[in-house]
Amino acid sequence: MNDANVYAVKTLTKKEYFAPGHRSCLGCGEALAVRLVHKALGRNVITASATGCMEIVSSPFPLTSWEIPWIHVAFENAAAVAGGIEAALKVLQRKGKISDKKVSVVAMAGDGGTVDIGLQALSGAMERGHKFLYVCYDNEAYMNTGVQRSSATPFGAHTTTSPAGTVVPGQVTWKKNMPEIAVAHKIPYVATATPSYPLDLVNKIKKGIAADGPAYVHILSVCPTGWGIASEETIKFGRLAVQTGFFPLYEVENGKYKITVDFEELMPLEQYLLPQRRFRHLAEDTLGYIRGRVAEQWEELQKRSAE
Amino acid sequence: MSGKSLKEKKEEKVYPRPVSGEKRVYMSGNEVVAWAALACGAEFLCGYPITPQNEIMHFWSRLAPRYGRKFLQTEDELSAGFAALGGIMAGARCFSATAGPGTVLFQEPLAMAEMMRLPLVLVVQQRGGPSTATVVYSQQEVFLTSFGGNGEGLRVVYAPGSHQEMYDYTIKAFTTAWQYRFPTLVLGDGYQAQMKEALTIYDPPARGLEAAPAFPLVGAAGLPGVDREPAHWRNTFSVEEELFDALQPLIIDYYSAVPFLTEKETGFLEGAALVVVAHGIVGRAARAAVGELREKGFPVGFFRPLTLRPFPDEDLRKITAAGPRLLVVESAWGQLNKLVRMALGGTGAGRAEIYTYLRPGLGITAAEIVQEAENIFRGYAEQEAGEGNNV
Repeated sequence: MNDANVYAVKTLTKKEYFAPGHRSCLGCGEALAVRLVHKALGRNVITASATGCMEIVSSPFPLTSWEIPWIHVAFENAAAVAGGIEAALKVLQRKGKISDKKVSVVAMAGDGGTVDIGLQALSGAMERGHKFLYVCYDNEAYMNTGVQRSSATPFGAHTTTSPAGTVVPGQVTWKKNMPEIAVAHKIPYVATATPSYPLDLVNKIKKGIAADGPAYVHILSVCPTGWGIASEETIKFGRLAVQTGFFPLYEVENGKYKITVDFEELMPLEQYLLPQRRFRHLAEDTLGYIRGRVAEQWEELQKRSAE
Repeated sequence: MSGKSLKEKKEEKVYPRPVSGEKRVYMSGNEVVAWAALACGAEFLCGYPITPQNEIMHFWSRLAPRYGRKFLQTEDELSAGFAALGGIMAGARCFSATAGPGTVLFQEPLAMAEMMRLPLVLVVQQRGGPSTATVVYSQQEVFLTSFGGNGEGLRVVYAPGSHQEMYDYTIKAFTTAWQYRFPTLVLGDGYQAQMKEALTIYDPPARGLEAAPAFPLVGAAGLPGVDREPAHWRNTFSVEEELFDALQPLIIDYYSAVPFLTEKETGFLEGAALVVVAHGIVGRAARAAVGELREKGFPVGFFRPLTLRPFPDEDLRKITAAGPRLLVVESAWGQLNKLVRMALGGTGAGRAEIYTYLRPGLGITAAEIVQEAENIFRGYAEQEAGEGNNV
């Protein structure tokens, strides 16, 4: 599976829709994900972006990395803007004012712009049933403003607003399960992905944009700056997150669960967690708790995908 | 948090006072705010990440556990504001900090706090509008902090100009808020937030600065209406006549406090033909420029409102009554200028000629102000009815 992934990705288009020269950090997993997502989406797409790393690095005034129509409005409203675009395209096409060429509508946001401040707009757009794809690039904290915790930050992680010390052991809440929240809206397609498994990611984006209604893809985007790992280890840590069951790759098509990258046996969690600076303080009891919850989550997922 | 109240928890352990005696320190503005809030007994910060105020939360979340204080990061500024209001109603001394688009979202909690007389303290570090990427500096949130929201602007807005003032006025914001029970804001900016400067920090009670005690507004003993008067913490009125009636005592309270609230700094007013008006960090450039101009022999004075709301109207009117022209200098397109015009409007002094030097989002140096003032004097000398660049 892994090897197939590496070779098959060469079949992707050579055209770049997210042009190089942007200002992301070395080894940015999110920039990689954005690039792959837009290779999968192709030319006929309009993307609405929330505030966040990708907006900052890709559009420093007056430059842009975007070779597709791309709009940034504010922090909390990517889904609302995409919903508006989708509705407007629909009405203009119905009235024959624009050609009826199929134009995909995509909303993109980071974890803060999705699971925290943008959740209301996202929930509303999913409930109204706009035919759009929402892509959450999850780097597990507010990296753009200086690594503050979000509700997507994993338990125990050190951030600037959940500092690990003698009183508080880092983040004290479990990561919000956003894909499950999307599933609860009964939308046709929900998936998790990471650029460390590029073909899997590209397939999911293609499925998502083809779905008849709202689709949600949650992409784990490794952040060397915020996580405290070497910038050349982005892909490795993305793989480890999947291989240890910390971030399982699965999709939910019309309510049907399927683990897309499955393992007979998961790798020990320590191999993923402890080399990261944000987790280096973890004591055995915290580790044990995380291990338990991750195993539980994996079992639950296997049970559901067997149904 | 467990079932125990903050107060009970505190009694279990005695925490050291954050600041003892007087200490000379070298800090960034955000760090100053965190220390000031700790020193004056703030118990609880509800916040949300937004540049350039992030370090207030960073320092607070590191320092708070040492002094038995709490930190809550919410999912946006609306929640941060309302969580702080909830905390205040429960009897904790809560505050928050924000900037730019966060200040916009804060208008709803602020308007609510005004009508409910909740002493919300909010530190705002201004950045360029409207939204993202412009995170460095501006003075564009003057109107937003003074009059934003769907209410009457019954708030106090302090505009400190140095780190020492940032410390003093953050502490003062807590005493003012708890004394007058109106939302109180400290209006800094990105430059003040991020730059480092020397200042003296002190223990506020040692200087007689202690905020009135916080007490729970809800959950009082007894059955409302039977054992006691209902607290009636509500903002819902069936008809606008009720709103009108409810608002009257608030307006009377606010405007009768105005003479005690307004603060300003003045200098070189004697014989001034031109008075430079500026606030916040620009006030420092203005002060330096006026000193320099006086040395060169120009009759220039200096006026800096320390409270933007309520604005020191009376003081400014007294100054303009003597007949000088004004030069309003700010990093916005005329927000302070509007406050100045509102202060002068309708009186004879309102006809004072006002020049402006407006640079939205840009820092302003003393040299620029000197240049501008010299141009005004030159133009005046050349042309009796010098028209300047009036807005």
